[in-house]
Parts: sequence; structure tokens; C-alpha cells
Amino acid sequence: MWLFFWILFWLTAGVVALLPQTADTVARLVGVGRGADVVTYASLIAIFYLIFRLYVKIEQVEGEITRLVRKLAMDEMGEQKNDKD
Amino acid sequence: MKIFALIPAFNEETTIADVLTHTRPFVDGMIVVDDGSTDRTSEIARAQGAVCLRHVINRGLGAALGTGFETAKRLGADVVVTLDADGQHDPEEIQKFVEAVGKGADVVIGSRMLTGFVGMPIHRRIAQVLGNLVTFLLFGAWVTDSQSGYRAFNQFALSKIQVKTNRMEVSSELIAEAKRNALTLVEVPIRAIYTDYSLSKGQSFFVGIKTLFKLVVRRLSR
Repeated sequence: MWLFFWILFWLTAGVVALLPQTADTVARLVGVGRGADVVTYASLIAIFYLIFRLYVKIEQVEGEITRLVRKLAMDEMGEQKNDKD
Repeated sequence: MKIFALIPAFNEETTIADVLTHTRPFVDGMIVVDDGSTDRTSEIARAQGAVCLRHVINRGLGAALGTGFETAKRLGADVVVTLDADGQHDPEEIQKFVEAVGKGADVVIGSRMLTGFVGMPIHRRIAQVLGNLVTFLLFGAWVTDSQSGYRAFNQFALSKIQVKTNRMEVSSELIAEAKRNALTLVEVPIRAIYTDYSLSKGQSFFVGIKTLFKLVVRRLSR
């Protein structure tokens, strides 16, 4: 899924870089004045989306760190109990 | 009925001994989760006879409560009462929570609003009301003190509730979880003891905004 997204992303970037007039065609299609503007708008959307994905990813990583820290804490408690026995 | 007190603590060496001494007569066991303190919190807690779990690094209130809940389950607790380590909650009121659980509540929230937020500064009161509104709008559960740290859970609630958030957003999350699992939620009026110390431990406006944002993400990620 992500591989597909990135392939598509770079393919589009490559096409637009080599043949700037394709951006103009897209611009006319969506009703934006110039091709360069379409590129700017699309980039902004992509960046915001990626920031959001990153945020979610960081949240996941935080959750994983917590699970590790919890495991360590609980193992330590288990050891103390065994020492007492 | 096996009653456990669960006290999350982060750098609370000045108050933890007092809190534990006053809590002991009302419970069968005390669990302290030392959330990466750099002071003597865990030593003092152990000396006071509490089961003390130590987080290697600070993970926040939500993470500490999650660890405490896991431990309480392992120790076979029937009721877990969470209270703050800064001394703002009066352990004598634990009985109120246990009574409410005895009458059939799965989750009990101690509400400072039901006693009129006595001694709470005005900007704090506004923040509390906003917290209640956010909890209601995002999760559809209305309580009068969504950010209260004084709560009780029975065994059934513990088996159902999943804590996913790490920090202050956990207070609202617990209420959301109660609602999601259709648990019986009851509020009891509590009196908070505000000292300069406990007020200095409170949360800033900025933390409030961050908490709000994380709650929105938590709501979306369901």
C-alpha cells in the first residue's frame, strides 16, 4: 500500500519535472489557473497528510515504549517478591 | 472485599509518606507507581509498606495508572481506588467510594464540583468545566468532574477498561471507556485539599491544549 503510494508520488513528481505542461493540463481540469499552482497545492496537502501520519506514528511508538517500561516495572516487582520468599 | 489504593507518583518525596500513612487504615493494600522519579519517592513508598512499581523513565499519568491496574489485577484486587500523591485527596473518603461500589457501581468518580470546587482558583474552575465539555462532546459521557484523580473501579471495570493514552488525557479516557463498556458510573462528592504544594503540581493551560489534541486523536483512532 505504502510502496504503491510512494511509487505513484515519485512518478508524478518525475513527470511534472520533465514535462511541466502536464501540470497545466491538470490545472485546467481542476479549475486552478496555472500548473505551478497545482503543484504547490498538491504539495501542501501531501505535507499536511504526512505530518498527521507522523503524529499518529509517534503516538504508536509512545504506546510501545510505555508497554516496555510497564513490563520492566512489573518484572522488577516479581523479582522482589521472589527475593522475599 | 480486597481494597487497594493506587497512587501514581512523580517526584512526590515530600508528601508520599503522609499520604500512605493516612491511606493505610482504609485499604488492604497500597500500590504506588513511581513514574520515573528522580527523588526518593520509591524508597519512601517501600518503607511505608506499599507495593512500589518503578517506571525507568517518566511515561505520564495514563501509563502509571495502566501499570497500577495491571498490578492490582495480579494481586487479586476487588476494588481499586486511585488517589493523588500530592495530598489533595482525603483518604478518609475512600469509604464513600467503597460504599458506592458496594451499591453496584463499576466506576466511581470523586467530584470536586459536587462540593462546589471549594478552594479552587477561578481559572482552574473554568478549565475543569471545559474538560467536562470536551469529554462530553468527544465521548458522549457527562460527568461533573472529568479531570478528577480520585476514582474507584471494581474488578469488572478493571477487566474491561483499556488504557491507551499515556498522559493527562487518561482522566477523560477512563470515563470514555466506562461509557463504551456500558459500565455503571457513579459520582460521589469529594473535598479537595488545596495547598500551595498541590496547586504548584497542577497542569498549565498549554498542557490542557495538548491534552485536548491527544483526546481528539484518541477519538479518531477508535
